[in-house]
Amino acid sequence: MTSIMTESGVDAGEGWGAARADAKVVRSRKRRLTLGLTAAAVLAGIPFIDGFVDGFRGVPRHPTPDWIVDVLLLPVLLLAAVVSWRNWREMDEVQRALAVQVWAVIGCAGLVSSVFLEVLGKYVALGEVSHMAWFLSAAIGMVFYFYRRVRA
Amino acid sequence: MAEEADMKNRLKVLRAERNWSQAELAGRLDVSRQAVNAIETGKYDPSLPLAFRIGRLFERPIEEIFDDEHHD
Repeated sequence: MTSIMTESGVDAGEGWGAARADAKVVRSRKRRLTLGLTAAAVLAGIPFIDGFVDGFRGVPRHPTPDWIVDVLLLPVLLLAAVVSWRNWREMDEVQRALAVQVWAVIGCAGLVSSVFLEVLGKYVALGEVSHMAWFLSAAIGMVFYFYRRVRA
Repeated sequence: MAEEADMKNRLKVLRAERNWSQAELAGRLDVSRQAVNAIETGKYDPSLPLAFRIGRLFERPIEEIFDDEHHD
């Protein structure tokens, strides 16, 4: 077995690269699992906190004012921002290029679908057009992402 | 990813010469296996810093690894 030293002085013998890539995948999976569990805990915890406040005050459960619900969404948005930032730092340039393309597709789909659905909504009962456009553009972005990943 | 990439490269050949898997090369270059695959199949042209890293790893000048089909 040949022993090759990298520029940083690390022994880079055979299988060094594969072991490094495997370790990276394991680290990435652990991080994703932790973040997924945290996200689930935050989302599941919001209604619990909501009911807990009423229980603590000893008053019957009542609908939460909108501003409290909005404030409770802040940790969710913060978590999404942290996850996105950490993922971006972990990505290589090919993955970053794909991420930028996915965001561009979502943006374009949102731009077109919001106008299209608004016009269509005049003739067909569509419900909440802005929500529909949001979900449609997100779905188109996801389809684009998985199509590119499968092709790669 | 530049789908209309006109760049050809010898990455697959150089990797095969060393009997490295895509994962092995990816680990040595500190990129994902998908990145190695995308470069090898010509679906993505690497940035200059990554091209230099590839050149240093294989101890060859960049132009020996990447070939622009449109050069004069």
